[in-house]
Amino acid sequence: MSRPLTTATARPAGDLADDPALDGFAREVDAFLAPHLAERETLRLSAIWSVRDNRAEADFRRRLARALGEVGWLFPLFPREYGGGGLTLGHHMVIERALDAHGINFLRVFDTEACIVAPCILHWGTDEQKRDFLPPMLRGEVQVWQVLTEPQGGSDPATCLTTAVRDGDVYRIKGQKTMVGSTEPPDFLWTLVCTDPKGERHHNLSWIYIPANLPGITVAPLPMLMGVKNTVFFDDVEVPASYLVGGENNGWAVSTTHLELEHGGAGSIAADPIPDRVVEFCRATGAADLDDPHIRDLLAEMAIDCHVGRLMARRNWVRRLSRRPHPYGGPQHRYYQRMLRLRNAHRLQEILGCDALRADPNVDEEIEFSWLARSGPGMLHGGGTLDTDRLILSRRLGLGREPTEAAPQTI
Amino acid sequence: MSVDQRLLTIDRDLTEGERLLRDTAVAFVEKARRSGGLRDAYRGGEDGAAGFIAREAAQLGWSGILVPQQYGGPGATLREAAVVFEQLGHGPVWGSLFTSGVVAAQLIAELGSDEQRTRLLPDICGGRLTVAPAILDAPGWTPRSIRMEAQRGGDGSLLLSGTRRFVLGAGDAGTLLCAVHVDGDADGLALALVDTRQRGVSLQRVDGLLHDAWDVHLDGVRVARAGVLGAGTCAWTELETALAPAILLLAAYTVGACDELFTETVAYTRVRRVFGQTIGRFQRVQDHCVELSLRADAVRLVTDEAIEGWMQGNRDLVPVHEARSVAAESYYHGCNDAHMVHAGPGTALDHPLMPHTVMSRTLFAHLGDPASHRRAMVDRLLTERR
Repeated sequence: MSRPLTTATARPAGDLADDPALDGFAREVDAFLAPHLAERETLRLSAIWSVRDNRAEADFRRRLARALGEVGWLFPLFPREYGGGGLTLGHHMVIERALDAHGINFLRVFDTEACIVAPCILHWGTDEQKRDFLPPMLRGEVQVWQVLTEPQGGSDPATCLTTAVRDGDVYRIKGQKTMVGSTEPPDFLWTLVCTDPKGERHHNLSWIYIPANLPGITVAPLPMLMGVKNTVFFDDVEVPASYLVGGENNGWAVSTTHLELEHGGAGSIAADPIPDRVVEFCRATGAADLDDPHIRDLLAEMAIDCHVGRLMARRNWVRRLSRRPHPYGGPQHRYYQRMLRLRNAHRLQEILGCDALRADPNVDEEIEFSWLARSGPGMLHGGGTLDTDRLILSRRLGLGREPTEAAPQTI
Repeated sequence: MSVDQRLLTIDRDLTEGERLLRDTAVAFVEKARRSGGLRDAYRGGEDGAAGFIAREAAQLGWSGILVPQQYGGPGATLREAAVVFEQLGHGPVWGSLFTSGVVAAQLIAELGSDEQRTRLLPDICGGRLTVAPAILDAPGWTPRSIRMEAQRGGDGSLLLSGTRRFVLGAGDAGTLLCAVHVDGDADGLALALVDTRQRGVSLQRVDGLLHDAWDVHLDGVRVARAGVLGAGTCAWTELETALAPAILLLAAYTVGACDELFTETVAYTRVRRVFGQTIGRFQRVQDHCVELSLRADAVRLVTDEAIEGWMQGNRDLVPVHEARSVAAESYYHGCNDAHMVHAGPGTALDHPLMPHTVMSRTLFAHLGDPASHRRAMVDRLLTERR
């Protein structure tokens, strides 16, 4: 027998789920989840960005999201009037931990980016927008894509050429976004548009929530290393002006909430299962000699890197939910994670050779070795590049000048 | 970008004959690209380019480029062959002209009997026979990397059972060349020619971040004495020495691949504009390109030197191990550097960077992983000093 390589040894400081007063709630959550998660045991889960196309899994996730949404547990901290749980941070942590025990990422119970969009609307939306937009999202009923990247813009979303021109009660939207979404078609699109083409940079943008079935919207699949993304074309799409969130030309302020959540500030509690999977695979197949000192060195480095990454993610998670956002934790963890994947993909190939490249649909995708091999180069981008991560991190650290950016409050 | 405009320095002047070979190889790569099969080939589907590449290679006389003229080959020197393989690396154009035409042909030429050379090499060179080498079972570059054991019959035949994984090019091969231990001998090896149509042989394509890799299952496959190379056994060092030219051509291939990565990445930094300027102006992007240039020059310098030494008759394997290690690491990490610059667009499956990413991973442990070659290099150095 041996101990797992990736088990954290202690609860993070400030983990409110440890409060004994929540024991009863934890039992309630476990009992609630048990029937909804029974099917999970037979499924091999896809990664967040996936080359798999598993209808049964997508249906399972939608059912689970709706079940959680029905009792307000999909967004436990949100006000009950919008369909949230109206619960405490401790309750949230209990639910998230319970799902994590089954390998379910709470922020991605199903394939939607509502986890980023809903906090933005809660923070920046009007009362009417909150009443109209939030309940379907919080009930797990709608699939939302954030569509931000433009072909020419890349890591610079502020250079936004997709225009939204006010025309009476509507905005007319023209332009395109790329490398967005997934294989699950969206119900809504959440996007940044230029509402003042002659305006000053950062003061000419607005966020708008768009029903995806409006005339003039077309979606073209874009096969990529990590799975299918899409290009979304807007051809003179008429969107009611009431769908613009946060005020016209105030989009960059709204972006601070959005980007902090997207860029690592959300944090997580999940452990990286790869090191233990490598050991298990080697023991089962003899693919590599675990007594070889070089292999042991590589495993140790892999385990330590993963552990540090987990602690960073957990720190960000606690700080976010405690409403004490870490000043630079978001971009730090995001950058660390990107480099970690590159290092581990290389180590994996050193240990396993070509076995590190083989696809294996019989395991969850995130412990599939070929997923790790792909994710090294394949996830160097997404919500910016590793270079923009380092730029933001440098600014937050105050390199060469006093920090001018603070981590924004999210939820 | 044309060859002459490439940025990295080629220190050694090419001879007229080498220039002709290079230009022919450049045209071959362009033709392969235009055939449209290359991108599909590296997307994990059926290899639409393999047939095209094999046919073109046979027409050019490159199906067994190092094979002496007396056995039907062009008898190119190692340096001439390196000029060709460097250009193929730009493609990247990969196929039986390396697996069969260099690796298998080299083993047959060096370790086979004269009867075997006479029987097999002309067919390989003429494109009538494709032999997929199936040498290793595990990452590494020692006799322990070969685990498959065969039983020898009284008539000198071998009985093979087991699975040899990740055999490159096996799907198009009529014959496999399997390295096996015999009768429990941990040091001695035998090289057996296995007809893929023989009963007990089955192939399965490997799905993943790999190009043209196959699992080969052998179930009680008997290989007659005539199908066992040479005297029936060989030592690991004989195998290593026989494969040294192949390892150096693999390094030459990587020289071209890294040159392509660097050249295309630099070109991209000049035209891609973000934040109001070309990305090549950003120090971090410059850093990625500088790293890539170091890798590209490193693999070129050690490979050129190793080939030069081999051409002069120096059979020291230390430079060969070094070239293999630097080549594998440079290609692998060079792709990462390029991805850091190309970002999202570089991971679209139809982007020219993607075939290199797939090949850099596929070839990482081919003919031994870099760590094993580093270890073998140091072992040799320390042994010689003792």
